[in-house]
Amino acid sequence: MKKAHLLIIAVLALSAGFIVSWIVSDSKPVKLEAGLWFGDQAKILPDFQLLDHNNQTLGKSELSGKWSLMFFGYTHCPDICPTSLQTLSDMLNSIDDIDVRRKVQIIFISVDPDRDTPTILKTYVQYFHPDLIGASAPLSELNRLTSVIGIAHSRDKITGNQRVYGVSHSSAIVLLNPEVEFAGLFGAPHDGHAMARDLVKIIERN
Amino acid sequence: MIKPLFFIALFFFSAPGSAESLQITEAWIKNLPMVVPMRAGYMNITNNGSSKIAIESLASESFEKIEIHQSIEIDGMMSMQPIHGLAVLPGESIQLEPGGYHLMMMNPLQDLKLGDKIIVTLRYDNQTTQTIIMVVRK
Repeated sequence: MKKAHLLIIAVLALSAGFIVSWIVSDSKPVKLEAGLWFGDQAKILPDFQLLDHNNQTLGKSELSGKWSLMFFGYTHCPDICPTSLQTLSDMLNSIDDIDVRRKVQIIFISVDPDRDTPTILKTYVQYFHPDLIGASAPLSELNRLTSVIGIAHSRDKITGNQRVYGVSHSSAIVLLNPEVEFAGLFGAPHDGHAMARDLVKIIERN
Repeated sequence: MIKPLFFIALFFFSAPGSAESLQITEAWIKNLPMVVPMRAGYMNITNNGSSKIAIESLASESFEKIEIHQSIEIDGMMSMQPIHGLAVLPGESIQLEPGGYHLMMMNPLQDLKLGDKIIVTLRYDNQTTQTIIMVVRK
């Protein structure tokens, strides 16, 4: 009897252990080839209101229904931003499955709203890809979004010419799901092909 | 046809005088729409000589100002810092490439389009200058 009890206890403990580890592992972000996927732990975002490159409101309702990749930068950034936007554009083109590609939208969000008007943003983003969306908002509104998704940005100290300044910014690409929840993150350096493979897997399974 | 081209190339890629200079290859400028007043320039720099050479300054009639910058990432934040006097040791090569060292080319003084050849003059700390051609590329 004692042995049987011990066996039952052992089996129960083992099962409990499995269940606990399953729950714990499920709540952890899943490491993808090029980033992190939050799975069931996607974060609900507060309401925010950006202005897109056609002077139209871009908020949660406009973004819903598609998978959104958001990259934050500014048009006066000559090196990192063009490189990242080129990578994202090539990434979009490399998705062969048209149905999957149609479910993806790429949004370049300027953290330099003083200089990046909708007109400038439109010419800039569409240089890289006709489907790219440019957007921005006053910093206070931008921060409602960026503070929740952990995107830091700050204007460098201005010396001399007030129009010549840099803006430091997070290099991560943020993934929002069709419910406009913060669902994943792709860190730099960005590998467009690996990102495309990750996205296809995520979209096909969800 | 070949001969004049050869002499033009010789003119642009060799430094005047006998002082040592750097070998510059693959020099190009990232094309962007004209609404954007900044361009990044990239190149491979090799010092085949026997003494250290630093690039003191760069100038072009096609840009108001050119500086050497470096993109750096600290804790996931990207920023740029100016590099003063980029030095290349004998036998050393330095790549100016996306995401690292690059030329920060400010305020184009002319329309720039794909295929344009832009003349840029590098001034070294040994008081020599070298003129190169940078091609505007995608």
